Amino acid sequence: MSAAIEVENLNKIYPSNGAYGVKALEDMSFNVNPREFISVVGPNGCGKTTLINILAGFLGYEEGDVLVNSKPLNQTPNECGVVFQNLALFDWKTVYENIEFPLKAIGLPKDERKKSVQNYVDMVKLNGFENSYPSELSGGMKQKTAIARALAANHKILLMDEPFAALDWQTRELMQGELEKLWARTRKTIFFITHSLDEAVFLSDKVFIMTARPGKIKEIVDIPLPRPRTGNIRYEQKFQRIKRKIWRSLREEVEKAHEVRKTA
Amino acid sequence: MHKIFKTKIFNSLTFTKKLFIFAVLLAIWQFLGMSGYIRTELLPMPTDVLAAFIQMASSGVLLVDSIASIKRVLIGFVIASFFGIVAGMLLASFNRAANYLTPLIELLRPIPPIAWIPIAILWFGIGDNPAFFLVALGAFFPVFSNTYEGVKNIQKTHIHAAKSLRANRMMMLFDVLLPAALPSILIGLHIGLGFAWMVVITAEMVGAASGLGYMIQLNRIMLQTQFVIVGMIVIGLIGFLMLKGMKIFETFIIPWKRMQIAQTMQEVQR
Repeated sequence: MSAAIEVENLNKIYPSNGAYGVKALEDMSFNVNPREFISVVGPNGCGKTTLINILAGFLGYEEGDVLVNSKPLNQTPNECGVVFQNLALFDWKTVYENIEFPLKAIGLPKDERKKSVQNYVDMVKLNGFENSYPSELSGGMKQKTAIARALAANHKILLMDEPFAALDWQTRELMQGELEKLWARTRKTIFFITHSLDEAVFLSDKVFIMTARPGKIKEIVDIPLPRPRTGNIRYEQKFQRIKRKIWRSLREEVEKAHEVRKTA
Repeated sequence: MHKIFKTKIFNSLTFTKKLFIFAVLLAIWQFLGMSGYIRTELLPMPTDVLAAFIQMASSGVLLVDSIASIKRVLIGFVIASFFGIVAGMLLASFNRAANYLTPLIELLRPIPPIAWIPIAILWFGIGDNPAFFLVALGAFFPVFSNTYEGVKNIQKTHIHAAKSLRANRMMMLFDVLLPAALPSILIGLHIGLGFAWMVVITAEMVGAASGLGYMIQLNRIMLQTQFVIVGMIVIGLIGFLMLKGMKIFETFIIPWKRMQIAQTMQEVQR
């Protein structure tokens, strides 16, 4: 089976006042297999969000080949579902209408939409909040709405840009557990950006460690922990050992990023 | 419960205070007239104004003129709203068109609608039509610029989200751009309605044979100052009521904000 995402020698340069511009990504290459859960960690400003925006088709790039579902990116702009850092829920729509949006977009008739929305509401356990507006929801429920909406679009690949960053740690751990279950159930490929190593190790099959800017993949760490995973796994030695290994590698990059900022 | 009770008393206190100031002013005004310090042709006494009001209201003149003015405002305002919203959305969506048209709009904007009155009379004669034109002109700019800004300031991630959720053009317009810009559009409509009411009175003073503006102008010429003041008060009242109505319409049309407003109100009361 061919890869879900193939990136080869990807280069992205942001134009700036200087003659050269800012190099965000340099010769980045990696593959993501179908149904894999990949987390990406890296120092601040290493181009993680840039990468997601490119994969989602929101942002162009200078050089390289990017294939999503074996199709070149410029031919199929919307191959991926996205859960945004700020969630980007439609404030003017209820939970129900937010989740219904992608179903309406593909022209599903009303009664089928209703069934499908109900299905996703059940899946993320938002029952009873269908008619609430996002402004009336707690952080965790907003998350669930955003995830349900992205799932309803039924893309094979889901890009998630630090979706849990704004949550308190209790809600965050709960949401991680929910996400792992959803991933197993829906058999999506998930490409997940995070700052939390704990989160990355808990959720992923593989963790990509990015270098300081210009970003590329420094190391890929396999997470051979059994699934389904429960919260207790965090306290096991194996978990801690992997986390430490990732941190040792990442730490160098974080320090480099700080050096760059100091000299700049 | 106790606190709410207190707030109510406080509110009614400020209300009586306001009423008190009003009563004092009226009394002084009445006194000045009665004592002969002020000529009543220049400033008729409150009792004269009240008598004039009763006379005008019972003869039906006041109602006819009010309806004439309100009709002009509403029609002109609807025209302005339509063109303002459509133009604002189009220019905000198409940068290239905006580059060509923005200078023209910025040049036309500072010309006050009053300066258009001669042209409006030349083109449309006397009566309703020049008033529609002038009102629409006055209300257009605030509606247009607030729509434009509203669409321009939409979060990029909302548009990205809609794209990744496979929105087509129609959904992008009616499910994303329009509702996202709606709070800003409503501000434009609110300001536009205020402008429209001012413009219609001015326009009627020069180029109409009916309406509240025409009525106060006619009575000025005939030195019936008490009718002029009745007209002014009615103009103020109708304008006030229209903007109140607009506010109610706003909370009705954006329910997702109404919840927020209700929540903050609750927090303030606590």
